Amino acid sequence: MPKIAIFENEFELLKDTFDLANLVYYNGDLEFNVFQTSQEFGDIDKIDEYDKILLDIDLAPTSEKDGFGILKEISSYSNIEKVIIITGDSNIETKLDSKGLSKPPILKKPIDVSDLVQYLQL
Amino acid sequence: MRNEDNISLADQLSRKAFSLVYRVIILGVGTLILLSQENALFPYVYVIGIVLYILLFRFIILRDNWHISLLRLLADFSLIYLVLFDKDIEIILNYFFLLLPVINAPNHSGKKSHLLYPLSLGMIYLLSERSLNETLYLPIFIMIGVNKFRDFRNNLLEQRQSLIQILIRFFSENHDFRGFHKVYDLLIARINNNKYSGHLINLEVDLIACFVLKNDKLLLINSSKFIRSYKVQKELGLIKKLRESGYETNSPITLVSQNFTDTLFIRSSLEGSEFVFLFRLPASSFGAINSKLLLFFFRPICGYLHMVLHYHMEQRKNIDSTIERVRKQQNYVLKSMNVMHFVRNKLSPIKTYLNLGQIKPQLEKEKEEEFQILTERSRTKAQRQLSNITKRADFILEKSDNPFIISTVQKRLLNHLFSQIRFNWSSFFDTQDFDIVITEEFSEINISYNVEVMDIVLVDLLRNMQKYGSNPKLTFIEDPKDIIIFLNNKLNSTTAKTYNKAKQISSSYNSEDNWEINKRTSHGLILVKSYLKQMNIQSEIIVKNSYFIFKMIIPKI
Repeated sequence: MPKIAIFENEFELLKDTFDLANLVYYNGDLEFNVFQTSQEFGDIDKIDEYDKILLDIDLAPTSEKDGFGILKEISSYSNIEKVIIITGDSNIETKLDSKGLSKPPILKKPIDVSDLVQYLQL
Repeated sequence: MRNEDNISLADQLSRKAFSLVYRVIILGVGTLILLSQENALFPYVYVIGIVLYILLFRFIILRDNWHISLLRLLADFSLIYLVLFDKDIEIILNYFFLLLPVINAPNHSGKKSHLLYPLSLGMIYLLSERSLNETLYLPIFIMIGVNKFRDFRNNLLEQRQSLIQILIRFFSENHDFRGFHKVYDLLIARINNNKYSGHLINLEVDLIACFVLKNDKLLLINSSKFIRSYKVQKELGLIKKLRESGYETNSPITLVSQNFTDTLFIRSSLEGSEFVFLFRLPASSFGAINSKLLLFFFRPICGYLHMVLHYHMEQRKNIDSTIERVRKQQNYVLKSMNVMHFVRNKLSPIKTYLNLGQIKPQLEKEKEEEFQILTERSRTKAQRQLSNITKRADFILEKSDNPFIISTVQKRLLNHLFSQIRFNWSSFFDTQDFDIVITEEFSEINISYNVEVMDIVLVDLLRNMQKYGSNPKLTFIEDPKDIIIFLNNKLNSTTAKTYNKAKQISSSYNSEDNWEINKRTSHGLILVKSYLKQMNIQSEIIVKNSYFIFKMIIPKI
C-alpha cells in the first residue's frame, strides 16, 4: 500500500488526478497526505514513513520553506530517491542547477494521470 | 598635442613675427632719420652700427631666453642712441623713434620689461642733454600707466582662462559624475594661488558648492567639502535677488550648524534649468569693484560647470527613462512567465477531465459509479479553470500593458533619420559606404517613426551586419511615395550552408502568414519586424548572390 506525502498549496486542482489514479490503478489503496506548508509536515525524520514525496516548489505564503528548502533538507537528511518534483515552472531545471541542488524526477503540470502512476512506480 | 600647447606655440610664433617687424621698423625709421637729418658722426660709424645690429639679430632672433632677450633690448637702445646721438629729440620723428621700445612694450615679457622704462627715461635724459623738461618725460609715464593697466587686464584674463582650462582638462579626463566635486579643489587651489590674491582683489576661496534651483528651493548637488546639513537663510529673498541681478553677496547660510555671511552666490541658467553656485570667500570685502572682479572670474566658471552638470543630468534622465523602459519590459516578461506558470497549474483539472475520457472505455464495471462522480466533479472544475485561464491570458493579449508595443510615432525629417543611422553606423563600422540616390532635400521630406524604437532596430540590424557580414553599405533611394533604405552586407562565408541559412532567415522573415521566426536563427529579427510593422514601415530581407540585404520602406508623409 503506497503511502505518499504531497507538498502542494493548490492541491484542490490536482485532487481529481490523484483520485483517478487511486481509483483506476490502485483500487483505492493509495494513501496520500497533503501539506500546504513545510511546518505542517513537522520533523524531517517523518520522511521515513513515506514511499514517495511529491514536492511542489511554490507552497503557501505562510510556509517557512519553499520546495527548494524542503528538497535541501531532505538531501541533508537522506537521499532524494523518494522525491518527485511537481511544478508548473518550465524553468525548474535551471533553477535547481543554479541552487546547486540534485535533480529528482520532475513531473510538469498539467499532470497526466498515466505519468503520475509511472513516476509513482519508479 | 594639447590645445594649450597649440595656443602657446601660436603665441610664441606671433611674438617672433612681431619682434621681427619691430626691428624692421627700427631699422627703417632709423635709416630715414639718418638720411633726412644732419648726422654728428662719420657715415661709416652708422653703417657699422646698423650692420652689427642686423648681424646680431640674424643669429639671435629665433632664440628665446632671458639673456638673449636682454641683449636684444640693449641692442635696440644702442642703435636708437647711435641714430639720435646729438640730434634734436623734440622733432616728432625722433621722439617717436625714441619711444619705439615703450610702444613695443606689450610684446615684452618677464624681467626685461623692468629695465625697459628706466632705460627709456635714461636715454631721454642723455639725449636731451640732461634736460628735466617734463613734457619730454610725460608721454613715457602715460605709456607706463597704459601698459601697466593692460598688463593687469591681460593677467586677469589669463587667470580666468587658466580656470577654464582646469575645467576643460578635468572634464576631458574625468567622466564619472561621482568625482565631480574634485574639480572644485583644483579650482580653489588655482584661485588661491592667484598672484593678485591677498593684495589687489583679496581673492581667496575656501568652499565652492553647487545648488540646483527648483520650485523656489535651493537643493545642494555637490560641494568641495562634504556638507552634511545646510540651511540657506532668507532663501526666497536670496532667490529673488539672484533672479534679478544674477548674483548676491553676503547672504547668510548655515553649513553644519555654523553661520557664514562671507558668501558670493551666482546664478546660472541654461535651457530652463537654474543652478546657483556658492563661493565662500573668507578674506574678501564685497565692495562694488571687488564684486565686479569676482564676477569677472567666477561667472564663466559657473556657466561652464552648469553646462557640464546640466548635460550630465539630462543624460541621466535619458538613462533613467531607458532603465524604466527596460524595467517595464522585464516586468512584463516576468508577469508573462507567471501567467504561463498559472496556466499550467490551472490546466490540471482540464487534463484530468481528458484523462477520464481516455480511461473510461477500459474501466472495470464495479468502478463505474465512483468514476461517474469523479467525472462530474472534474468537469465542473475544468469549466471553472478554463474561465480563469482565459481571464489571465487577457493580460498578455492586452496591448496597453505591453511595453513592446509602440504607443507613439513622431513626425520627423528624413535628415534626422539619416543622422541617426550615421551615428549608430559609426559605432559599428570604420567605413561609411553610403549611396544616396535622393534628389530632394532631406530637410524637405517628412516621415514618421519612433526615435527610441528606431534606435533599438538599428542597433540590432547593425550588430547583426557586423557579426555575420562584411562590406557594409547603406543605400537611400526614393520613389514618389516612399523612402527605401537598404542595409547591405556581404555574407562572411560563401559556403552553401551559410547561403541556405541566410535564405532560411530571409524566407521566415518575409513570410506574412507565419512570420514567427525560429528563435535560434532569427538573430533578434522577430522584434525588429514587430517594431517596424508597428511604425508602418515595411521590411524585407533579400539574399542575392552572396549579399544579405535588409530593406525598409518608409512612407513619406
